[in-house]
Amino acid sequence: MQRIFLFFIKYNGVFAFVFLEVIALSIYFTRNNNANTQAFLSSANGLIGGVYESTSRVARYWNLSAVNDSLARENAELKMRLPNSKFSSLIQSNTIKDTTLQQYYAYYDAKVVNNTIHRPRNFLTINKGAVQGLKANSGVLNGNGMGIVGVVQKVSNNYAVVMSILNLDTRISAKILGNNNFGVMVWDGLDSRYMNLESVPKHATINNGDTITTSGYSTIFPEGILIGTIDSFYRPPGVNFYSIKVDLFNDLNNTQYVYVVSNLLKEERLKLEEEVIND
Amino acid sequence: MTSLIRANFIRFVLLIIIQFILKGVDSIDIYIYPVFILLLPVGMIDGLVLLLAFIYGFCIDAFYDTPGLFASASVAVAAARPLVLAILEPRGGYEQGKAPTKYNLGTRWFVQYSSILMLWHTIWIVAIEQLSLFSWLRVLIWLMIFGLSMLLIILYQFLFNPKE
Repeated sequence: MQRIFLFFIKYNGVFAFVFLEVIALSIYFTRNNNANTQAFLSSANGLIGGVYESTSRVARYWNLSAVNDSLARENAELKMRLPNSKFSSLIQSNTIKDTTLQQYYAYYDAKVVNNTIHRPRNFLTINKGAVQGLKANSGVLNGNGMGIVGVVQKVSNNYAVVMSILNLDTRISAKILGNNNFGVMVWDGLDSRYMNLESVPKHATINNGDTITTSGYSTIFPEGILIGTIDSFYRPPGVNFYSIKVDLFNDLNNTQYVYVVSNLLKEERLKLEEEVIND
Repeated sequence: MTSLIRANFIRFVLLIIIQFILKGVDSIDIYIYPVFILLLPVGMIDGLVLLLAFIYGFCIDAFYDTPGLFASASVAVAAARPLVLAILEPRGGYEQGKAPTKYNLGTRWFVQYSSILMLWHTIWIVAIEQLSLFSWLRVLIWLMIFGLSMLLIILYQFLFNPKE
């Protein structure tokens, strides 16, 4: 008994190393499927979220003028869409109030309080959370209306962590505007200005400069959100799919304001689809 | 003893703050936090060094949103530390309980010591971060190929025992 004890004391370093390394690596490699560790450690965690918020307040101050410009531009764009800024060519003046339309997507605005772009797996933290109505698996759009930012992964009361599109694990359903061929947007971890569109079959006709939008096939993003344009493409031998490089519209490096969009009919649709799979 | 604990505690907090500021540097990661592990006193129990490194790494992880990554890296550095200390041991041996600093052991010694451990730290971070679980399986297969090949080569020597 004593000899076993001495053995453990003599090699305590080896045992501690193996034990701690197994814990650390198993947490790291299961970080996406284990919600508890992520909530505990991520910057959705109240203390660290607070630190990030106060530091980003300083950065926001320096960018105020640029943000003002983009907000003013967006305001102008929205004002143009108001009914009273449109000329009605309708001759009949009595109209019917439309009650058949149901709200499909809800939008929330949020500020980015933490962001990285140069790691292989990037995340953002935004300053809205469950209290404000955010849910996991909502899409995040760029504040100036061009481009997507990521997918909400985890929400706490007042913060949410967003898996950036610049993340090796990101998969976003997208299509080529015009011919409606759809594929999957992925990031190769190299350049923050480009993503790759995969799974577009070789028989599709595509050109450089074609616009890529979201497909609306997933429950995360609405259809037709602009993502980027085709920068270049080639036909890799031995595969039935194109390899397409997409030039993103938005620069993730200066994203400060985002919109979170959540699909209000998501549960219904997922339930229906699940029933079919289970049958 | 008390001053040693105080110095290490201040270093613990200060280095996390400096690392947090360095995180703001865009487009490149610069690491200073392993200095805490490097400067823990010589002769400390290995298990305690590893445990401290693990806790410390998790504090860094909380800021980087990478649960486990920096914890594993700092545990790896702490595990390599006694080996490097043994390799670089000066003629008279170490003074037990003293921190291995430039002041105590000289510039040349400290540069060698820190560069070996930081190189190991960089290799560890890059390997863990760039490789997904799938590619780790591939690395395991390579290791298995290496192990089986070595087994055959040794077995060959025992079977035929060639003299020339």
